[in-house]
Amino acid sequence: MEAQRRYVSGDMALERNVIIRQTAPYLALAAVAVWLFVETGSFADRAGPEQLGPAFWPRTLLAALILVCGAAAVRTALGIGPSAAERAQQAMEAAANDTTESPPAPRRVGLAIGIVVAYVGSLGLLGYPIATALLLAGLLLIGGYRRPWPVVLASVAGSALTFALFRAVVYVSLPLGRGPFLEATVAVMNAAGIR
Amino acid sequence: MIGTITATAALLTTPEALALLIMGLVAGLIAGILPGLTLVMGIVLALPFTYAMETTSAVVLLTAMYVAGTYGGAFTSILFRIPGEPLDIPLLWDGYAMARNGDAAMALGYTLAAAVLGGLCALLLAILVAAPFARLAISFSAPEFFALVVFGIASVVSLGGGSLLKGVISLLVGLLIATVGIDDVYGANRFSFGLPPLTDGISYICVMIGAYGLGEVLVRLERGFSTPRSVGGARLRTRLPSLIDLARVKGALFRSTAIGVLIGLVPGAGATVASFIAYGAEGQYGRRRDRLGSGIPEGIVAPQAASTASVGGAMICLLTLGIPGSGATAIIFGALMLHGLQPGPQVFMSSPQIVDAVFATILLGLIGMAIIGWVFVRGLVRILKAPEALISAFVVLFCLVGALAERNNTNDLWLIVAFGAIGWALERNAFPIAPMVLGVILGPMAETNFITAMIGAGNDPAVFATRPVAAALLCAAAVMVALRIFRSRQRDRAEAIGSHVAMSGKRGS
Repeated sequence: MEAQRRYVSGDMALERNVIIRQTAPYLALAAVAVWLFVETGSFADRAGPEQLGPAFWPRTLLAALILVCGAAAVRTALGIGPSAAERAQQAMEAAANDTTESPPAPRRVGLAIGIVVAYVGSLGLLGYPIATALLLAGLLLIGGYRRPWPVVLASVAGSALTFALFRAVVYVSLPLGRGPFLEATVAVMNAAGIR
Repeated sequence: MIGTITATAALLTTPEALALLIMGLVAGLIAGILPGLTLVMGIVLALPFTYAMETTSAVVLLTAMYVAGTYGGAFTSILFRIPGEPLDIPLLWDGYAMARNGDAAMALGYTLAAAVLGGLCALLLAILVAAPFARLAISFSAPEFFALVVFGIASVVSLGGGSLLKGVISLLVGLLIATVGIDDVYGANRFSFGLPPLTDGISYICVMIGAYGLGEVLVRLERGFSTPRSVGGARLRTRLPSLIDLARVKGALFRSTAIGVLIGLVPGAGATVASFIAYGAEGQYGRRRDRLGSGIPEGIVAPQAASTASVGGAMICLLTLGIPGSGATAIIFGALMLHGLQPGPQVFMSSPQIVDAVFATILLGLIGMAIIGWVFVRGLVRILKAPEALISAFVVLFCLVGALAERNNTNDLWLIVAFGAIGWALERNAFPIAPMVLGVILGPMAETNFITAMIGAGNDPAVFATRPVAAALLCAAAVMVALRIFRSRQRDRAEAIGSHVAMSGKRGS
C-alpha cells in the first residue's frame, strides 16, 4: 500500500515537473513581455495630444504576446496536448528527418555556439585568416572529423580561399588582426599576392 | 509581354547576366539537393555576393536560385528518399515508390516535365496578370496597405503547419524585433537600452541569416549528419515521358498548376503548402486516386507542378503588392531593398526593367534548369557525397561574413549568433521560423501604414471598415484565422471520437 502510494506520488511529481518544464518558456516570454511593456513608458513621447504616440504599436504587440503566451501556458498546464494539425506537422518533420542516424545531441550545439562566440570575440585580435582557420577546424571536429590532416587542410585552405574570395570578389573589408597577428596576416597576404 | 521578350534576349546576349543565371541555377539545384542546405539558406548565402552587383544582376542570380531550388530536391526524394526541402515530401510517396519499382529514370522524367510545364503556365499567367494587378494596387493608400499586411501575416500564421499559437508567438516576436531602434513616424528611440548598435535597429538581414542559416546548421548538427543510399543504381539517368504519357496526366498537371499559382499568390503560402495541397487534391479528385502512393505518375506530377508554379504566383505577390510571401521571396525582397528599390506596385512604373528581368529569369531558368537536370543528373546526384559536416562549417562561415559584408559592423555578428541560437531554439520546440522573419520584414510596413492611416483619420479606427478594399482584406484575414481554428478543432474532435470508438471496441472484445 505504502509502495503504491509512493509510486503514485512519484508519478504525479514527474507529471508536475513535465508541466512546469513545458509551461516555463511561455511564462518566461510573458514575463519578458511584461517587462518590455513597462519599458515602453520611458519612450520620449513626441506625439501631439491627439496622436497615438511611439509606444502605441509596441504596447499593442506586447499585450497580444502576453495574452497568447498566457493562453498557451494554460493549455499546456491543463494538459491539452498538441492539436491534430501540430501532430501532423510533427509527423511530417519526422518523415523529413528520418534519414538521420544518431540521437539528438544538444551538447554539440552548445559547443558549436561556443566556438562561434569565440570566433566573433577574437576576430578583431586574431584577424580573419587565423580566426577562420580555427573556426573551421573547431566546427569540423564537432561535426565528426577525427583525422587531423583533413581538418588542418580543409580549415587552412578554406580560410585562405574565402579570404581571397571576399577581399578580391565581394570587396568586404575583413579584419586583419592586431600586433603579431596583423604581421602574420600581412605576411600571408604578401605571399599570396593579395592586396 | 514585349518587355519580357526583350529582357530574355538581353539576358541571353549579355555574358555576365547569362553566367549569373547559370550560376544561380546550379546553386539552386545544389541547395535543393543537399539535405544540409535548404533553398532559403542557399539564397541567404548568395545574398552577400549581390551587394556589389547591379540590381538586375542580383535579381537574376536570386530568382534563378529560387526557380531551380523548387526542382533540385526531387532528385534526392526520388533516388534516396531524402526530401531536400519540405516541399519535396509528397514526392517521397509516389516518386520513391516508382524508383523502387525499378523506374527511377521515368520518375525523374515526370518531375522534370511537371516542373517545366507547371512553371511555364504560371509564368504566362504572371506576365498577363501582374501589370493590371499593379495598376489596381497603385490606388491603395495607408489603410489598404495595412490591411494587406494584416492579410499577409494572417495567412502566414494560418496556412503554416503546426500550432497556431506557436505561429502567432513567433510572428509577434518578429514584429517586436522590428520596433527596436528609432521609429519612422515619431523619431523616438525604442528598446535600445542605451546600446548604440540597437539604436540603428536590428537588420532583417541578420535575423534571416541567423535564423535560417546558422540556426538550421545547429539543428542538423544536433540531429547528426547522415550518409544517403540511392535506389537509382549505376544507370542513373532521366527519361522524359512521351506526349501520350503526358496526355494521360494532363488533368493532374493543369489542376496542380492552377493550385500552385493560386497558393503562390496568397502571401505566406509558399511552394511547400502548394505541393501538399496539390497532392491532397489529387487524392480527392484524381482519376486514379485509389492508386495514389503506389508509384503512379500523377503523384509525382501534382506536387512538382504545383511547387514550381507557385514561384510565378509568389512573384506576382512580391512585385505587385510588395509582400514577400515565403522565405525565398523575403530574401529577394531584402536584396531589392538593399539596392534601394522598394518592391510594390510602383516598381512597374519606376523600374519596369526589374519586373521584366524577373520574368525573363524565370523563363530562361526553367529551360536551363531542365537542361542541367536532364544532362547532368549523375553529376548533380554525386554532390550528395560531399561531407555534410564540411558544408555546414562553410555555411556558418558564409553566414558570418555575409552579415559583415552588409554594413561592415562586427556588432551584426553578435546578432547573427543570437538569432542563430533563437532559430535553433524555435525549431527545437516546434515554433515556426517563417512568421518571425516575415514579422521583422513586414513590421515597419504595418506600423507606418497603421499610424499614418490613424493620423489621417483623426484616430478613428472606422477608417479600416469604411474603405471597401481594406475592410474586405481584414475580413478575409479574420475568416482565414477563424477557419484555421475551426478546422483544427474539427480534426481534434474527429480524432477524439475515433480514439473513443477504438477504446470501446477494445473493451467490448
